[in-house]
Amino acid sequence: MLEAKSTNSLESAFEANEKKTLAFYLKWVFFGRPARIILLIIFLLAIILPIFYIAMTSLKEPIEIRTSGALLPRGEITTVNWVKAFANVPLLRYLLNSTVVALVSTILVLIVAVPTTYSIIRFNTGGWFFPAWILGTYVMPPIVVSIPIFAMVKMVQLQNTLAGLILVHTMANLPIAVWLIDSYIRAIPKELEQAAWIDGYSKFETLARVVVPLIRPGVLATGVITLILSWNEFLFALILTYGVKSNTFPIGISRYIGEHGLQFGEMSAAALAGIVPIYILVFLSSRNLVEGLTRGGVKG
Amino acid sequence: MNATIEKHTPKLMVLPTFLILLIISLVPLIYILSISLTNSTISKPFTDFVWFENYKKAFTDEVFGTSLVNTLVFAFSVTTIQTFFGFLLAYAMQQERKLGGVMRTLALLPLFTPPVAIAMIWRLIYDPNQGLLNYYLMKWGLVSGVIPFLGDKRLALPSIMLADIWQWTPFCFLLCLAALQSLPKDPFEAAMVDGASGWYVFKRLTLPMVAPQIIVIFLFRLLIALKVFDLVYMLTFGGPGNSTQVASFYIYRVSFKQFQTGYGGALSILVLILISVLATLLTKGRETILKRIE
Amino acid sequence: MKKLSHILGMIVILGMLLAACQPAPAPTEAPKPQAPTAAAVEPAAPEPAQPEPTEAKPAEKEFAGQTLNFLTIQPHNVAAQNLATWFEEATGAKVELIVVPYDNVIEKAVLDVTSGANEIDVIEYWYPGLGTLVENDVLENLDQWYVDNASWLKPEDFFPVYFDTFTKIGDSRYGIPYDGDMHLLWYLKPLLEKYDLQAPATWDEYLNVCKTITEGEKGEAYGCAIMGAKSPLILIGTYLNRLGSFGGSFFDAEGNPSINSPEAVAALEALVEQSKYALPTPSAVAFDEALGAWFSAKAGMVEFWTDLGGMTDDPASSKIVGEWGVVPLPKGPGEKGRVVASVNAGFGVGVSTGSQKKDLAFAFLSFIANPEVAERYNTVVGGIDPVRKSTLDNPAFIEFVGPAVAEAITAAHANAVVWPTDAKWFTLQEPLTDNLSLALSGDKTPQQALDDTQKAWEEILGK
Repeated sequence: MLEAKSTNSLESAFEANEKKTLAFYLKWVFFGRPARIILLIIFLLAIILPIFYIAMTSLKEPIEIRTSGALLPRGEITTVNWVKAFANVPLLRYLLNSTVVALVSTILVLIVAVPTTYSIIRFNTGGWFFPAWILGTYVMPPIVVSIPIFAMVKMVQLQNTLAGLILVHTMANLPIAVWLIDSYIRAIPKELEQAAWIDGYSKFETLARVVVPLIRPGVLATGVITLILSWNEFLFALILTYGVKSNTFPIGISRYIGEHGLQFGEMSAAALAGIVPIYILVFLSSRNLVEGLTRGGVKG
Repeated sequence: MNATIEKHTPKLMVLPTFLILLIISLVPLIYILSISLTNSTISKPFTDFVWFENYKKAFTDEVFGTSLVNTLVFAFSVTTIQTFFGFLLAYAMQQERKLGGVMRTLALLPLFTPPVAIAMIWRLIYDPNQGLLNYYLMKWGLVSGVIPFLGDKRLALPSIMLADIWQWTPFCFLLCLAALQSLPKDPFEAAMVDGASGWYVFKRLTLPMVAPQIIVIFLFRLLIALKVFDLVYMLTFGGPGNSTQVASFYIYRVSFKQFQTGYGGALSILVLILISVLATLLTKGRETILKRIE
Repeated sequence: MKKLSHILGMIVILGMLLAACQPAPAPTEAPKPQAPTAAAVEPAAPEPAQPEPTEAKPAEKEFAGQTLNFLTIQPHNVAAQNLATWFEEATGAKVELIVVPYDNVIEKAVLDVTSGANEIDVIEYWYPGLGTLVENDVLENLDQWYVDNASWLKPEDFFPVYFDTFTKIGDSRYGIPYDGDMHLLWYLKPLLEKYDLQAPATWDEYLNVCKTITEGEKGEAYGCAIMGAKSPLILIGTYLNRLGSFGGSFFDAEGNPSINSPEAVAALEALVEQSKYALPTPSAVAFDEALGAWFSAKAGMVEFWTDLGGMTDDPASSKIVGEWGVVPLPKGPGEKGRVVASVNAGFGVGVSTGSQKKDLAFAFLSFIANPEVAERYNTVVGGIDPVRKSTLDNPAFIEFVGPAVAEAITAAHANAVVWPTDAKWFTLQEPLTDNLSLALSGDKTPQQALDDTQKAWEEILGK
């Protein structure tokens, strides 16, 4: 596919009819430098604006949030929302719960996903059906399976525990992890593994000592993505957890509701408190992450 | 002994995944399938066997019909827009390498913001009387009266789409970027030597070469978009009227608000069938498109 | 090998399937041995929250070291925290709060008991869900408990409307009234005075006030804020304010649906007409939007609960401190028209059948029901409004809410209209919500919307 047949027909290099169609404007974007830069800057602003708005909201007086939609605080900047956010709701506990769930479930996902993917690709285990099944599982809307999942978690007596949520997140994120790791393993030359086998390595040893070190960036990227999926997950956490000891952060910030009304300021502060650690993680691992997303994501 | 283990190692490697798939897909599927044939409520599952009554009911359920249409409109619209802009931006960025690093990192932020927080931000932005959008629209004199983005039946679904586009365009952007970066360099260099115009190279080289990958991105994103739930749950609850009623949310309502788990099960099965058929058709369609490109 | 894996797979599937079916029989059997009488008599005796104030601090705290799970709603988070603190002081038992959004409380309780998770001991429930809870065997029968505790409980002191509606299904009681709350009409004095308007006494006057202000202010402010967001509690509540005063009702005297009666249709027509002049736009206005407009002087009138006065007088969140007035909801037109106070929202507390600590759970129930404890939580900010007649005569309470509000509450009780609490109500309220929302958005005419609701209801009820 990558062989472009049109390379041969370059003689007709310039096309005659240039109508002012979509293509015309696309051309302008693609090949006009100022237009391109403007486009990118708009994109950048569009991404940042809502997040900036939430930050500003967290610094406004509650009365100002109710009365004005201006981006910047007009009155004095206040920290009252931040103080209240941490005082009224056990925010640190929620953050801790989320961290534990996200970290442990991510490690479990990787431990299960790497050997599985390796086996599927190198030994064709499960034929065409198994990979299709994995992707098919990812298609299922979570709401559809929530009742039976709840019943099963209850059966093993793990409702209202972090362990229960960890298990569910592990299972829910496994398909996407397999899907992401796939192309990393494909990229490893078979010869390396064959050499390992000749050296007397077992298949497990080959995986552990040859394959895993080679795909480490990919595993890391996959790990960060499942970490974040787990961190953001709402529906299962809503159903499976009850109190402070197992509620995660997304459930926790939806608790900032006073009598008959949302506390937008406090919610903003709390949301930021949870988002910022994730953002830092993103910045630290962005290189691996982008590669991981992109290389795993697209296979023609 | 060792030889036996060695022989079955590949199977051992997939065993945990196999078990997990059973737990998260097959068991629920059988559960839902059997419950959908009964008139179950939440506290009395698997009682009152009624065969296909629930399915019959679903076919005459107007709200369910509306929710399916809304789901499809939503999923196809956002996916098309996101893939288009994602690609446009990725292509533009590939030409501007200096901006690249910062952009790539910042583009990740919306993806990693919890949906709860995203919904809260957009609720504040859309609010007619104390929200950002109306504030500036009014201030700059662009509109004469406030616009009720989430309260107007024609605007509510597009407004939810906009929030979704904000969240997911970066995702498509990153995948498109990778697709572009994975292209081989040789044909492009040859074209340069031949003095082809940028537009010509784009149309005849880039586009055909990345098309298969773009289609994969489109499909993957579409499958996720069909599951939309969070934004509807937190922004409109399906209203005004049924203008933002989507399939996942309707199933939630039937199963967890009305506690008719039997009927909810039937709706779930129908949605699953629809998504599977759609996925198959699109995969087939993709092959046809690929053939035509070649 | 292939065969073996097939067999293995089948076994696993079967096992899982059996497991999935498990929760069905388990919960129905588990609570049964705990006959309500046996469970209720016992805890009543060692109850620490006796009416005599001297007993408030017993030397030995009998529940020390124990923990109780209390399911409460987010808006009552603060009140529940207070209760937890006070209960621990009195008995030594820790109360863990399970806080959920007000519209998730019924599903959380039902799911907890029917799945056999049984984490929850005491439940604060939204009263229209009472029938659903009882139908699903979630709440303990309290008949015996009421007999045993009548002396200090003084059930006759509860407002009958709350007492019966919030706790009674058939001939039995399953909870105690906790937060009784009805809608009143709040208005912004300066805005009405600006146009020389009086607080409306009828819905026609209401429409006129709303229209005059909205047209006069040209977008700076609106005559009224109408909560019409698509959530049963919000939308049906707003509709009931009109339905009741127009003389309509959800069901007729025989219990048949009467939601498309001429009065009901007229009430919805009035709502649709009013919403044209209301804060844009009722379909997207929930509590937050309405409160935002109210606190910032952008809305002339709002139908809201009795505690709005206290909230409005908090300068930290309100620009209109001391500038408001309050009257009962407007009267409907014609012969059938009347003044009503609709009990939108309102909460009871009951003991979960799944509770593994029934003694402690009943002790906590008694604690909440105790008139003296009630006086404490009715006179602090927390959103718990009185359910006892005596509270309204209590100087501390009058001082807390202000005489005007106390008076309005007293007047309102004579005219209370309530939501149904039937087991089918949760199924019925969804088509009504859909159709009300469709009428507000102009997709259906009021007549059409209510005809469709009537049809859906008859189908569900099999009539």
